[in-house]
Amino acid sequence: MFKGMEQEFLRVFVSESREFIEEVEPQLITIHENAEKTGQIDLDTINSVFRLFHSLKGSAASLGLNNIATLTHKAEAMLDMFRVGKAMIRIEHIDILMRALDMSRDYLDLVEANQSDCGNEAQKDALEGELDYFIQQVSEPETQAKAKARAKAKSKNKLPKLEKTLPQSLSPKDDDKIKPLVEQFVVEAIEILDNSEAVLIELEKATEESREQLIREVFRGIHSFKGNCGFLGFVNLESLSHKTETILDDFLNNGQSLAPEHVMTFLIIIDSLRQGVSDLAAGGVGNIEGQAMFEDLLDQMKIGLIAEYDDHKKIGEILLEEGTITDEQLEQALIKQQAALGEVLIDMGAVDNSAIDRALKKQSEQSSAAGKQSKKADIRVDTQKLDKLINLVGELLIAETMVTRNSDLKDLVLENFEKAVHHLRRITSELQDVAMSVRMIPLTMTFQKLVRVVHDIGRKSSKKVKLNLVGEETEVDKTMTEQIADPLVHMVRNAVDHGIESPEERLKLGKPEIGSVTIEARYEGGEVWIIVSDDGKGLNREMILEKAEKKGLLNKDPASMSDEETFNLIFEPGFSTADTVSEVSGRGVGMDVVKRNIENLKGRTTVKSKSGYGTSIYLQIPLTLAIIDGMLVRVGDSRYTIPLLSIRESLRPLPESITRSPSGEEILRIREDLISVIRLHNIHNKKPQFDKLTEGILVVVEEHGRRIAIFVDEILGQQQTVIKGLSSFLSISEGISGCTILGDGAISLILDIGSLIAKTGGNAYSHY
Amino acid sequence: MSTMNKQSGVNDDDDDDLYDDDNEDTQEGKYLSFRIGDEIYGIKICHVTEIVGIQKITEVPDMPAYVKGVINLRGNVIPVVDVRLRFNMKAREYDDRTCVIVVNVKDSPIGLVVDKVNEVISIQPTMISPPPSVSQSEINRYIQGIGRVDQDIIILLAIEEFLSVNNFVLNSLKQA
Repeated sequence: MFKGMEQEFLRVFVSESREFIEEVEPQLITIHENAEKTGQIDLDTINSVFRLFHSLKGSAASLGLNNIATLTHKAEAMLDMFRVGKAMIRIEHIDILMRALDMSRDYLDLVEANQSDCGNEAQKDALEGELDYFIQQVSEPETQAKAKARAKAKSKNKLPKLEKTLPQSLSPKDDDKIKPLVEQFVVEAIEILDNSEAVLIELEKATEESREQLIREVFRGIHSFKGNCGFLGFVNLESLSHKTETILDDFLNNGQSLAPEHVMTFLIIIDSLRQGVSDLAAGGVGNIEGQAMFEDLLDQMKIGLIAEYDDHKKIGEILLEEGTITDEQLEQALIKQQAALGEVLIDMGAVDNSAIDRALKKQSEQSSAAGKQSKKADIRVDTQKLDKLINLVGELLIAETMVTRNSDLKDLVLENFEKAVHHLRRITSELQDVAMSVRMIPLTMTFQKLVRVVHDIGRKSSKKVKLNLVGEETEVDKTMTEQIADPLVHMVRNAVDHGIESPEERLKLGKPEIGSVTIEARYEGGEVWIIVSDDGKGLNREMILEKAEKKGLLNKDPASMSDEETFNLIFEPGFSTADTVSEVSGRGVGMDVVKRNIENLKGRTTVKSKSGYGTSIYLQIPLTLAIIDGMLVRVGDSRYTIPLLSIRESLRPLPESITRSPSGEEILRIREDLISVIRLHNIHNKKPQFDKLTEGILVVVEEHGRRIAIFVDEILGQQQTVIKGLSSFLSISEGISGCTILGDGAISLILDIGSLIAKTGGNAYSHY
Repeated sequence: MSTMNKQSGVNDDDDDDLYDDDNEDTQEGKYLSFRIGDEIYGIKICHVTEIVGIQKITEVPDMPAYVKGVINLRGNVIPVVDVRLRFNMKAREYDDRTCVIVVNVKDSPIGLVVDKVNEVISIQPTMISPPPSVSQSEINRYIQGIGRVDQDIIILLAIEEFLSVNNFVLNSLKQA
């Protein structure tokens, strides 16, 4: 059991630490930016970075991951110097801290793979050496400038102390960021406390050998609890858990085992910690009623412990030997000790009866409140289970249609049945929404990673760039965050490296010295749009065409190509406008990755650019890959599904609105637009019911602002369509994006409007 | 959804692999024999997932003629290949003997339309001779060997080659 626990601890440690590191990175950059701007160190931020490092160190040490622990210890020591105002933070410092983070990340990979962080020592030692060097450098007599910085920082130096006593001093603007952290803390804390409690209870039955391990487990639990409290600034909880931890540590160091009365005390402490946690959950600051009392209890235990340790005997026995007490007295005392804490306290005259009653009542109220809280909290679920759930919901939707549109029901008047169907449909559609939302996570993490990217590239290419993030809270499917992570890095990289000009150039052009890159996410219809834009020099049409020609990527007359077509060339594999391959870019792989990944998500990429004013790249990705609203149409005896989002209108054309071009092409005129007509039956070799356009229906679809009219026999209706991918065996089929199973078990192909339009060239006749 | 399908596909295959492992001894040398015209063909039993009767096939555009389309196999959409057309033989009306043998190649289920399914037979490795080398025709690449059982000559299909046209299918499978 212990082995499994250990692994679980490591797993949780790795995943949490990764989150920590991701959180720290942007903060480090903020610190530096602020330091450059104001000449002062942003104490709030540095404190929060410090805390993150500190708790990373603490957890690593308690799990015996010494390499991580020493490395983060050094980094922490360095941060401490800035924190207390010994030095001004400089870019070298940020860099080395970043490298320390990178290395920690490597170690986390190692831990994940081998359950230990052994290896890479040489590299680590080198890095630690560098950290030491910086630390030493700072400790040396300060230059005047440094002294000044110190004086400045000192004037603000009171802040961190204040923070120790006032958890709210995490600045109010951070409130929104802190809140989820607190929520998560509450969940984890309850988990830790529950686990510790279970282990303590298990101690009573445990064999002598396993006892130490069990105590160690409680110790670890309390330790990380303390670390989290410290990190979030919950002073009360921290101090109580710290005391508990110390005593547990004493037990461990002395090789002593916990007597039942000790276990009892610890259980009481755990209950009081729980009380503090529920106070937090209820929006408080983690107050524990009678905290001093509990701490006294621990102190007493500690005194007793030391006495015990000194003589390797129990106090009772010593007293007995000394003749101070008699056997009976000892017996009585022991019974008393085991009696409920409240009674002991009453006996001690510390509190009166009514106070205990009040406390007990409160305790029970709070524990039920805590129960409610944890129900609301999140649990970790295997993503495969989620996928299965969503698949099943998909199957359910199909099955529902099979039942409610069953051909046996044709021509029957079934009033009650219809009502029941209506009810069922409401439930299934809600179920579907819930199932989908389960997989949705905000883009925050994905976006935050880019802060580092922009920082690094800006440094390497000596450009000044500010990254703006808009709409981080937009929630998307988890697979989507995975798929767009790489593309975003490439796009941001390109924006900084190719887009933004050097500071001198920018000043010359009358632009602000610091370039800006904006990443924005928002919902647009059934899609998520992610827009990466910069205010750099924009794409150069001539240069792109020239490069494309050189690389043989052109298959058209350059003069006839629209700007959009030209700009899309940057997504071609092998295309690069950079003359030399630099560390950052130039190999022409990046944008190709962007396009491929977005296509995997059934999304589109659009480039807008104005020379001299910057470039915006739009990623337009459907919110879900699993279910779409579709319009079912019939051609001959085949049924096709057209994504509802693409449909603009459908109509039965009048003879005069159809024109035949000399090449035999049919063109539909709607108001001022001329739209090419596609006869689906020709493409798919079907025998249609109607041959004349005026007898069937034309469905006008649009994508990328280009329209075509699809000729079908009949529109059958609109329905929720569960998309089934076509086997990779059929992946070369153009014009089809997948298929769906209809209520009667037949398969309907889903038309890929984008490629259909591309095939025909779209409405070249359109006026817009 | 496509990725999810793939995942569930992978799961299925995991199960199959387990099955294969357990039954390696018993599956060795066993072939499912089927008939195309007058000839008997065989495919290794370990590739076969199930046999279903012919059902409504939904055509998919832009595919070679022998790719007949897709069928709905209990909620999974799988492509079907007509073995006759694949061998450039004359098409034949499907009747109630026509079957679809569902095989699993590189983790993808694919249906094979055959005239008639015969039985599962054992062929000793010593009774299998290499494919005829007289004609270097493309089609011979799809043949793993020629087996003999009693009086019958059985053409053993090399299923992976059979399902790859100039390797495009295999390539697309690899990409998947």
